[in-house]
Amino acid sequence: MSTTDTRDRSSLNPSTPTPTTYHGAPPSIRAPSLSSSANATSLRYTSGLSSHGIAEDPLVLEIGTKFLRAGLANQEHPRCVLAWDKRMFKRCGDRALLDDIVKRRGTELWTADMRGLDIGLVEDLLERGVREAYHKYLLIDSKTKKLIIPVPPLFPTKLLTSIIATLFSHFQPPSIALLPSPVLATVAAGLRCALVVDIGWYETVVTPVYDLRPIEGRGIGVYGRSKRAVQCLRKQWVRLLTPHYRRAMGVNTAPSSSSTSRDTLPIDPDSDDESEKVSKIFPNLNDVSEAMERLGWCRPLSTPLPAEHTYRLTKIPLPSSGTSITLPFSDLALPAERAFFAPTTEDVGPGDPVQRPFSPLFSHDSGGAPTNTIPTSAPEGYPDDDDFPLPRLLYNVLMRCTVEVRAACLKRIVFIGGGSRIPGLQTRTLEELQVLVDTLKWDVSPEARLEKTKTVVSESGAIHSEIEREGFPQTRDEGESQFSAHESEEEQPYDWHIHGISPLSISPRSTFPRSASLNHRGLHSSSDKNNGTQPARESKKSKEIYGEAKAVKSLGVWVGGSLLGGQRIQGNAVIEREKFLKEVAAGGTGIPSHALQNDIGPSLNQKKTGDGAHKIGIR
Amino acid sequence: MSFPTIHISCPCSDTPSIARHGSSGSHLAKDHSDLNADDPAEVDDDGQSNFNPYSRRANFSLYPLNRLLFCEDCNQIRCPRCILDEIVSYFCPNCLFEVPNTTVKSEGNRCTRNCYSCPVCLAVLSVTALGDEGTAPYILLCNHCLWSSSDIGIELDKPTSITAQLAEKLKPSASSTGVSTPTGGKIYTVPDTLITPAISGLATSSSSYYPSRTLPPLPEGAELSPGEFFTRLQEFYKLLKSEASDNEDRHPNSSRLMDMLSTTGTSHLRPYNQRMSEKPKPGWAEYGHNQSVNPDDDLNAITAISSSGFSGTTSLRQRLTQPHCPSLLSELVPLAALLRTKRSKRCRTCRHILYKPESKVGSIRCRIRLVAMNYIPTLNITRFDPSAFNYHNLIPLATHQFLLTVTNPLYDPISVHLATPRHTPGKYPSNITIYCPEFEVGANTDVWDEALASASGNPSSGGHRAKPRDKKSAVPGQIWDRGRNWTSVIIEIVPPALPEGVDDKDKIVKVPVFVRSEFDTEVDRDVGEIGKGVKERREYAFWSSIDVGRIGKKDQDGPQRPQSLGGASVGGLGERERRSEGRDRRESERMKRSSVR
Ligand SMILES: [Zn+2]
Ligand SMILES: [Zn+2]
Ligand SMILES: [Zn+2]
Ligand SMILES: [Zn+2]
Repeated sequence: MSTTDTRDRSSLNPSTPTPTTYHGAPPSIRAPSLSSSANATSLRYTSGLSSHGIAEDPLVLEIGTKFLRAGLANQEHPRCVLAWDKRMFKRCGDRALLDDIVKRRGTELWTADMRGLDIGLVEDLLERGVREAYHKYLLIDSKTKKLIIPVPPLFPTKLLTSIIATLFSHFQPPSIALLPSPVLATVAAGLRCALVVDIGWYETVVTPVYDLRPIEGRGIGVYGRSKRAVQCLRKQWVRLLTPHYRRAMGVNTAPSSSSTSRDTLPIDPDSDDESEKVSKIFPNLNDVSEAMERLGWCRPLSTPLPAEHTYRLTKIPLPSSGTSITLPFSDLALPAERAFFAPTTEDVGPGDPVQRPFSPLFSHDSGGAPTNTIPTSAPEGYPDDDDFPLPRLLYNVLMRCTVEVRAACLKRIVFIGGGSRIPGLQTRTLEELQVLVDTLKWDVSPEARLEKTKTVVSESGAIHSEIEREGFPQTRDEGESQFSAHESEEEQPYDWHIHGISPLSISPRSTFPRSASLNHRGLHSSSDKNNGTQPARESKKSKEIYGEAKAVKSLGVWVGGSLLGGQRIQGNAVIEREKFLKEVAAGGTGIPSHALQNDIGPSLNQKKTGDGAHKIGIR
Repeated sequence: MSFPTIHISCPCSDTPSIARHGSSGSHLAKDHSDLNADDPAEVDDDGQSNFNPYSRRANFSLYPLNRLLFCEDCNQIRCPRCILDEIVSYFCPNCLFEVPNTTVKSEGNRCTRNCYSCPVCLAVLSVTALGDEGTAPYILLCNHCLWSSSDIGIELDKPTSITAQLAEKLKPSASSTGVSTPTGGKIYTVPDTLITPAISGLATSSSSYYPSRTLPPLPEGAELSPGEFFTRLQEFYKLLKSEASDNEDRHPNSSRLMDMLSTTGTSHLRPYNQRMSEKPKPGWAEYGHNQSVNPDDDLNAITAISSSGFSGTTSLRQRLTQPHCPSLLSELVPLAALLRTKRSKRCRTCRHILYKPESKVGSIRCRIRLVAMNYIPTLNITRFDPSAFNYHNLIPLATHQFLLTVTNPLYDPISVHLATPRHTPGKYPSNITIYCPEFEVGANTDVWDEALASASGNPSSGGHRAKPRDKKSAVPGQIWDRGRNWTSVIIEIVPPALPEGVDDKDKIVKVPVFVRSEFDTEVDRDVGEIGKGVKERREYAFWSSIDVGRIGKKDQDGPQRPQSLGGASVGGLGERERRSEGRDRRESERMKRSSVR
């Protein structure tokens, strides 16, 4: 998209809107006042404009765990998407990186464990990535362009301050505007309300957006998070491939040459036990990632895959070890099945190669409840509070919303993040969510209501995790067990193709009825029987908005930033360089307090977000 | 990995971009511990913490000398991180055509001529005629991986103006929902803006041919390509904003509304609940043609992947280079070559220009070029005894001697002070000893002066090699050798025996050396008579990291080979050393010359 052209259009278009899209005074009356007001606003909202009115599009930098997207606003695509990979960790002048960073830390920009995070390393990496973006792709002097940075919900302040500081000190942009990423995803879908499901690397975060305000307070932030994310998916891929890999490498052979072991996973050097060594052989993580990105898919329930595809043998090369694995195509849907839809991922078992314990991102920020991270002694089959399957996670969040937010969001579900790319995942999530909605409705049991009151009264973020663990309405537990008759199948993991919906026991071949409503009815009746034990009390309200879950395509967070930035909309969390550096030097965060409190700015601290506009979102 | 390698740590890494959070006070103070965040800081006997080349962050602060500039005003090394770049000119690396600034602004960061790169391997594509005698049709062919534009069904009519032709061929079809590929997948209709932003000019101007100057109305439920959807969203928000700002003029108090197109509390927009039940109208708060997720699309995508298999899908790298992130190889499109820039570089602290190239593309000359190797002493390290060991297989627990040569680029003699920790700070420390850590290095006087001087003294062999032998002695506390503007000392390293299965990273001996050089210089050479003779003491100090080699396995032939390199040389020169010495000398000379160059 050319800037000059955009400029032309921006000056021409608003003055001559078409009747179909215009609902105001006639253009003839409007035009003059518009042009003057456009000038006025541009002066007000963009301080560094040159007098002759060349409105410079700001830059949008989406800084993610795995990727950096950088480009000019008003363009359809970022100019570059850079991966935080091994290359980024290299020393200048070296050809290769010796440090086996994939094994020890992962190459992500930041680690899931905030407390153990080396902030300095994040700054170094960010500086390197952004510099490459400026020099190789953006080709502009960094001092001249304002920045727009999308900020995910409940993003840790410490990390945000550090990111902003790095950008200001190394690239000296005139200002940095912070915009909440769920809102940008909503904007890029052409919506004002949406349930934004961000399937990221460390975690999946579900954020309701109502009238372009993210709803994060009062527990939604905690309820809307699950570790069912892409990292979890990769673990499941490792689990799928490892037995085949070991077979391909020769089961009983000693752990092969260093070329295979070096880049794979830790091999205990002191162990002389051959079998123990074998049990520590895993396929190279990069190879696994590549296979996952290229071949992974997810089985939709209602639309059958033709048998020719189901049984097609698919070869997965593992170049680091010079071998390849051949699996039926249907098996390649298993990791997504387990990672996103299995009732629990706790039994990752011996195939789990990632040594560091998972802790939900920023958990310590969510109200000082470190218990969040400690695996609870939840009864078997019950998910941990950060281990909800995707459909359940969505349901839980919608459950927490007020009626009107829920009504608006249910039919406007927006999937973003790396996991949303997996073909079939969105359809499948919607199908299962629909089953949950049809079965459980929006009923709240008395106990749950009690818990809810507690939350409201206590005003403390710490209680959320407790409620999350204990406050499951009994009815839903019943429903849950209905959907999770999988215990016996867990022994032969490759057979739980569709464990969630056991009553129908869908086999890959079964020609599933095309209309999802059929299954729902089948399920519905069986679960109704179950609900008979409990008084199934449906509030009238929930019946009214008893709706159909629908997903809406979004062009993504970056594009949302591009669209808003292209209209010179910066939000009210605009940070100026001098002020920021001064504040940080004085020991502050440098992030304006209204950015923390205001619904438009990223709500960084859960405790501060309970007031004002958030009330509309939570009942 | 080649050994030995010397990197220099730019002091800018001592000043973290921000203060440690919560701690006030000056963060400009040297704080090496910041670099050691990975490992606990190694503290010297005198309580001073050392630079740790093993730290992961060290990878970001270490640079080869030739990548460093020098700011005379700050009297400091400047690395790529502590300079600010300013673009002098843009050019296409393929056709070497200089692109004016205005063109870059309007048409983007890619070559608008005929330069395209392979979407599979990123090599340059060549225009190849398919017809006999080099006639039409033409294709873009990769000579490296043999990908060609005919793989995606594109043949060109003429060998020129490829950008325009490609734009035409890749234009969304009339239905704008994508074209079926032989594999059954759907080609993402690539918006023209992707191929090269230049075309976007055509595209958007063509859209402005519509009398209303907005896009044509859409039928209900129309499916749009991502490109079209974007353009329409853009229009939509433009309109919304103009409405909002219009509204703002009437209600000056509601300026908050502009913050996020938020319309709550404004009179002419109804509350959301009311709108909810109604069908959203275009032009109101929500865009009317949202693209809902279609299960059939998912199914098509899955079968396309199944049909194409691993080899028919794009790798992560290929996908990231393509703006529309395609999943299938058949959806890849050729990419116009990225432009490159010539940049001048300023000191980030004082804004002085340190490097300024000629703006002309062909020229490699510089107007200003303050490179660090003209200011700070250059280090070189060579094996003291070349036959004794292999850089890639240092024998554990044996004493290895290296010759560390310090060369002075200045016209004033310098006094050098080297410091190292006693052990390398890695997980498996090696012992380090510098025989003579303090010494003088002569001025970088005119080479001819010296040549003449030495020629008169010893006509048979020119240069410093003819200097009397007795200068050399491998005795601790004494330098090994010295020349016109260089001095070499012996550094002794004893690597540890490593356990099995150690990371490659930990096998490498990285020696941190702190170099301080002091000299007296005339305050200002330009002042003339008045300033003459006034001298000032100056000091340069920096950490450097020397990768000496990789620790090998313990000697299999029984116990440690005595390998008494240390013993022999401490007592005096062994026979072997004497023989190899000349060669060593030559080698270090060669390295010195090459590094100066
Ligand atoms: Zn520096
Ligand atoms: Zn070119
Ligand atoms: Zn190629
Ligand atoms: Zn300076």
